[in-house]
Amino acid sequence: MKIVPQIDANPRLVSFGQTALGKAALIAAFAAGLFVYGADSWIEIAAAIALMACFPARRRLLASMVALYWLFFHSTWLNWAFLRALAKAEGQRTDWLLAVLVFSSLAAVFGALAAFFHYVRARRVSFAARRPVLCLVAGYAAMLAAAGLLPLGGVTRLLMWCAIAVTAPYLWYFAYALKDASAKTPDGAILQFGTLQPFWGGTNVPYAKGAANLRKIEARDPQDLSIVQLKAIKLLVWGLILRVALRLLQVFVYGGALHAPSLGVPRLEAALRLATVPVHLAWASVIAHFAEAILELTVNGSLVIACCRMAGFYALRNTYRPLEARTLAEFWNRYYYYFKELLVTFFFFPVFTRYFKQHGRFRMLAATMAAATAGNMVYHFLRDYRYVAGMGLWRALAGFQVYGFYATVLGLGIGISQLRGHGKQRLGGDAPWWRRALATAGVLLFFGLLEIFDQEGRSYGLGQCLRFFLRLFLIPV
Amino acid sequence: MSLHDEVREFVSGLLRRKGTFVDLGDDTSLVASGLLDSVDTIDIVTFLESRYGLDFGDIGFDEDRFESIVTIVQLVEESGKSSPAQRD
Repeated sequence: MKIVPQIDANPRLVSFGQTALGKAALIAAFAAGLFVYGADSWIEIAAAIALMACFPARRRLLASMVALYWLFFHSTWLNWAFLRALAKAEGQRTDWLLAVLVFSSLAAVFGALAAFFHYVRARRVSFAARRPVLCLVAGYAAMLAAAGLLPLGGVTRLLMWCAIAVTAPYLWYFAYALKDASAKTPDGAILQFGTLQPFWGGTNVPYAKGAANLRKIEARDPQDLSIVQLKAIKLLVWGLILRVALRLLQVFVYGGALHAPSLGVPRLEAALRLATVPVHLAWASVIAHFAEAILELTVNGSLVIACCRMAGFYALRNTYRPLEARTLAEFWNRYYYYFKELLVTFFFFPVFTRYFKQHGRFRMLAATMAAATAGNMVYHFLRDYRYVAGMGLWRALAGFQVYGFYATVLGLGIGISQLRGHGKQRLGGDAPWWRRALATAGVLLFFGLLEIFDQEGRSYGLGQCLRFFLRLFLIPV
Repeated sequence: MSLHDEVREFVSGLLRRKGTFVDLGDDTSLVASGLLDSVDTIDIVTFLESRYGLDFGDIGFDEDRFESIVTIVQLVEESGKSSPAQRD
C-alpha cells in the first residue's frame, strides 16, 4: 500500500486535470500545499505556475521572465549579508549604491557568459570552445585565489568580492549552459536565462539540470501536463509528511520544544566539541544526525522538484528511496541525485573518456575519485568563498582538511563499490531478506559514520573528528 | 546481428541487470525518464568503445546521445564506425 495515493495513475483525474476547472483545481491544491509547507512567496509561485498552465507553448519563455522577477525580488542566493559586511568593513556605503553595484556586477557576469556562449558556438576547434567548463571553473578559481592573496582594499576589494559573490551561485548553472552550447540546437540566451537559478528553487546545484534536460522533460501535450502536475502534488504531499517526521525527530530526539519529552541527544556539532560523551549518546548523535540529513535533503528536494513538475517539467526526484540502496554507489545516486549528476557530468566523464583507457578497473576508480573526491572538494571550496574572504586563501585551504578527508574516503568507498558491482546483477527483491538487510545496513553504517567528517565549515580539526570517531568504538585516545 | 539489434540487446541486458523490465521501444526515453542514470551510461560508453572503437575523448561525451536506442545507433553511424572494431 502506498502512503500517498497514486493520483497520477487515475484516468479520471488525469482527464479532469486537462479541463479548465481541473487546471484551476490542481493549481489551487498545489498552492494550498505550498502554504502549509510554509514556502516563501507561495502566492507568486502559484501565479507563475498558473501563467505557464495558461500558455503552455510559451512555458520556457515564461520561465525566463519569472527567473528575472525572482532575481530582482527573491534573490536569496546572493549573499547580501556578506556583501553588506564587506562594504562596511571597507568604508563603503551599504544602501542602494551597493545594490546598484551588485546588479551591475551581475549584468557584467551575464554579459561575459553570453559572449563566451557565442564564442563556444562559433569557434568549435579552439581549446576554450572544446573545454568551456574547465575554462569557466578555472577562471572563477583564479579570481578567488587572486582575491584571497592580493593586498586589496577599499572599493577595489569590494568590487572583486562582489564579482565573486554574484558568480558563485551561478557557476554550475553557467556550466550546464556552456555544455548546451555544444549541442546541435541549443537554446538561445533568453531561454537559457530561465535555467539560471530558476524560480522553482534549488541550491548552487542546478536541480533539473540545464536547458538540454528541460527540453527533454517538458510536457508535450495537455495529458502529459496533467500527469506531471498530479505527480507534483503527490510529491509535495510526500514532502509534507516527511517534514512532519523531521520535526518530530528534532523535537523528540534533540529536545527544545516546551513541555515535550525528549531523549536529550546532543547534536553532532555539540558532541564533537565535548571532551567526553557517553558512547551510547555519541552513537545516538551520529544516527540522529544522519537521519536528519536524509530527511532534510528529501524535504527540501521534494519542494523544489514539485514546483518544477507543476511548471510542466517532469524532473526526477532529488532523493529517491535511499534506504533501498544495496551498494555505496547506489546510495549516493539515490541520496542526492542532482549533485551526483553534476559531478558525473563535469568531473567523471571528462576523465573517464580521456584517460587510462587501457586500464579498465583503474580507469573506473580514477574517474570516480575525480568526481566524488576532487570534484566534490572543488565544488564546496569554490562555493564557500566567504572563508577565503575571512581567513585568507591558505588558512581557508588548511581548514578544508576535514572535508578533504571526507571526500577522499567517499571517493574510495564509491570507487571500490563501483568496481565490485560493475556488470553484476543488482541484489534484487528475490534475494534472501537477510542479505538485502545486511547490504543496506552496511551502506547506512558507512554513510552514517562518514557524516562525522562531512564538515563543510572550518569549525573542527581532523583530529577532533577522528577522536570522536574512535570513541564510538571504545578506542581510547 | 545488425548494429541496431546489438545496441538494443545490450541496453535490454543493462536494464535487466538493474532489475528493470520494460517494453523497450526504439524511442523509449532512457536517461530523462530515469530508466538509466548517468552512471549506467558508463556501461554503454565502454560497450561502444570496445565493440565499435568509438573514442569519446575525440567526439566528446554528450548524454543526449544516450537518450534512446535510436540516438545511440545514430551516434555510432555518425562516427563512421558502424561495424564492429577489428581486434588484434
